Amino acid sequence: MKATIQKIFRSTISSELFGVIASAAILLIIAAYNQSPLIFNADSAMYIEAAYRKVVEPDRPVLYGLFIKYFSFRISLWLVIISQSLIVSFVLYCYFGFFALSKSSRAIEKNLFMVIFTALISLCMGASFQVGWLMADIFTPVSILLIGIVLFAERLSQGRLVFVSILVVFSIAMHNSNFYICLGLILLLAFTAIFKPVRKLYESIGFTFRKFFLALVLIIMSNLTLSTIHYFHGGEFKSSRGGVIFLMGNVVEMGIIDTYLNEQCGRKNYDLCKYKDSIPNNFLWDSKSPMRKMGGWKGSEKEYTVIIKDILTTPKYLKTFVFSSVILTLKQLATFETGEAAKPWRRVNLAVRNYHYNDYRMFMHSKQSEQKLNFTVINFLQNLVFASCLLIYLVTICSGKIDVRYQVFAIYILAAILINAWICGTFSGVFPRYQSRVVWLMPLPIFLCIMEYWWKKALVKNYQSIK
Amino acid sequence: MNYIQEDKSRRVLSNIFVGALIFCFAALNNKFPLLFEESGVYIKDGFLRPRVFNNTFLYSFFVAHTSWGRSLWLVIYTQSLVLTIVVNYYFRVFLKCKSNHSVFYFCYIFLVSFLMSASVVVSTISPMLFNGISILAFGLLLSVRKMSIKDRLIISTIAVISTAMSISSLLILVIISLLYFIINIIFRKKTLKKNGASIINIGIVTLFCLAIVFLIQVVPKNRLSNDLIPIKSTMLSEKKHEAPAGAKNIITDILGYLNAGVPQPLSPIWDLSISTYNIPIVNGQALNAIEDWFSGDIRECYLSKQREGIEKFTILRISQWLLLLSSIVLYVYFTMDRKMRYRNLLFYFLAAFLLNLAIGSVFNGAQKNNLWSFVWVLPLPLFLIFFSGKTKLKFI
Repeated sequence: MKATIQKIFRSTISSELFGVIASAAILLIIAAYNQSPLIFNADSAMYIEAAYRKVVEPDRPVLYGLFIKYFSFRISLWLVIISQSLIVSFVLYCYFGFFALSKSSRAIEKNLFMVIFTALISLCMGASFQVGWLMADIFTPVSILLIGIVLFAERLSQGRLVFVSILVVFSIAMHNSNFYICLGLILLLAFTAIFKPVRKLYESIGFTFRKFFLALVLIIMSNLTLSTIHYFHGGEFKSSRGGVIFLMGNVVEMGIIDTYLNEQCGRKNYDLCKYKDSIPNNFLWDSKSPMRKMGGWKGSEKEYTVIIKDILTTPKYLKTFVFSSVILTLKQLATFETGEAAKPWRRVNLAVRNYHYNDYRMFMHSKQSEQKLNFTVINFLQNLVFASCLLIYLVTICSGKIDVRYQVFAIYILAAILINAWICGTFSGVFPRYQSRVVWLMPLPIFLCIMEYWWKKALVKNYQSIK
Repeated sequence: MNYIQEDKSRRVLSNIFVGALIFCFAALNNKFPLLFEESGVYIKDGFLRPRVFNNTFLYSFFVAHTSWGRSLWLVIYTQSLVLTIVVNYYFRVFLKCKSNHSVFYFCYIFLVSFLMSASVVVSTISPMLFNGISILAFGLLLSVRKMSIKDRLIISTIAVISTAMSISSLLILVIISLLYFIINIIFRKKTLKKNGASIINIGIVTLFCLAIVFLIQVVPKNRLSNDLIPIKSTMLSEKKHEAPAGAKNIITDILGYLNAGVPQPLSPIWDLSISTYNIPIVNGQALNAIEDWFSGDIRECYLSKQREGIEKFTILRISQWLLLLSSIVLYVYFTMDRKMRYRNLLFYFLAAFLLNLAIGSVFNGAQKNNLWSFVWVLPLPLFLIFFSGKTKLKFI
């Protein structure tokens, strides 16, 4: 009897499913502590409203709203975040699975490493918060990891590759920035392949032209899919929304617009000139912003496109833009606090009440609604983990003492984090949530590397004992 | 005994540039350099002809020139570069036998940036960072005997400029120099030949520093009436109308400071905790100066965490205290061992720390103190001892 129980227990924890489910459960810790899925003011409401009203908002894709609508099964918002956690967990399992030394590597060990990793990123970093948040942000790290699987995977079965490809297409389409981040990443890798030593390095770890091409096709497909979805939801055949307006907001923050308007308003007849002395710092969201007086996101787009084009083609302003872009990228890199969970606004309350009434009572009594959440300790720990990872990266990549595959993977993750910081910092603005969504990827290459060395050591030990 | 290791210059440079960037973490995280209200005066005085020529004028001059009149980000990156140059020298000199001294160098930078206040100090528009830099640079001049002219020139320049940024560091260094001279030449009876290099180093720096102080003290009238010098307001009113002139007055001033500091001998202990960064006031000195001289930065400044009141260093304060106390315990333990490697360096840093405490109390009395801005220097010699590989750690 005891042996049977032991056998069942062993087979349970060594199965792939156990790893995925256990990690998914850990990833839900913060939401469970909050007693309800977490929300981000206005944005979460806008996603929910867009999906149910079948309206394509001018500043965001509709796909995440549809994800909420269909994956909640109109039963509970919990089902949405459970789906998110299962997706993240599955993606992580792919890594812990295919980075394994050999097929004979025991699943129980993979599960163990994966669970420890998930616990680290959930309790000491922002992963659990991101997973439990009703925001499309979680799909940015998922997209980066999925593209990584397409590029790095060696033993992925056909079925799993198809599933991964579908996930790539939809996760990239969830957020405006994902397309540019993934495209930037692929183009950067492709560009480095021009150099012969790098090309040889890529060949040695199995980076083939076929894989690059597949990744590129998937990224383009995601864009087309999103455009099609927008088209059928009453919008135009257009994927990216509000890019110029976001950039305009950032040009204001950079301080370029003040100089530009002071110098150009005499010569050019912009509507914005009327408001040049009253442009608020929070250009996009301030209720008194000139953007709202000039026709909102759609109405002002035409004039702002002209202004942005003029700024980017005039060397004087371009110089300031490039300098500010570098500073903003660095700022975004260092700004990654997690826990943007302020007291929900009325709009969010109404959205939950109108479309997910089952969750309303629980939502109103959640720790977030009662303002009892505090992320000071997690943020401090996150700083420490970030610093430790950066130190390990600096030391190991420079020393070149670790396996090339892990070095390249670490560089891949670093490049993804950097590109994310550049795109968000320069084209949208410096906000902690943009970086907090990807910063928890940093310990992954280190964990995978440790796992491999641990196995190697165990193999040597076994071999010696047999001998 | 020590000499600066010849290293691949490209690697050293990249270490310095990356290290400097890590030190700027607090400013990047804040989305703008950290500010005190008096930061505005430093900015303003750098661009205008100062009403009063005093010791902080040098920092104002530094701000105006390193910013290139363009951005305050350049100021903090430059001050961070100066710091990393000195720290990098330490690791190259003292861990010369270690091929991987860069690893320990980065370990130190990460430790003091993320668990202590180094990054906060570097990221602030204030001369307080230069107290630490001067102690570090002076320590190098004291301990390194064989040094190329280029290295000596770099370290001496940094030492002179950073020492001249605050009178308290100058006092500390003069006292340490005297102690060094008395102990080595008079008590231990070491010849000038043996200690020649160190004495020349100290001599150069001290002379330069004295020259600068002379310049500061002699040139202006009512030099103490400036609101930048953090001394007691009572003292200000007393000294305001006195006629200045020469070295006689320096002594009178110092005696005055001493007198003012006596009633609060223990107050500096609490000042080891990271200072509170208040929200810069609208129409206050800091915001006005940025609006006047760095108008391109003003929006960034308004969007910073400090301006929004979010920037708090609660846990960093605790971790700094823990590390400070651990460092002191290790200092006591190591200095008791007569055969300990780098024992003199430990004594030097300990003396600098204690003198900082004492002089901080003397100079500032009950006023705001910046002693916390120096304590992150303390783990440095411990790092060198731990990683030099010849430490006898009996308790492990």
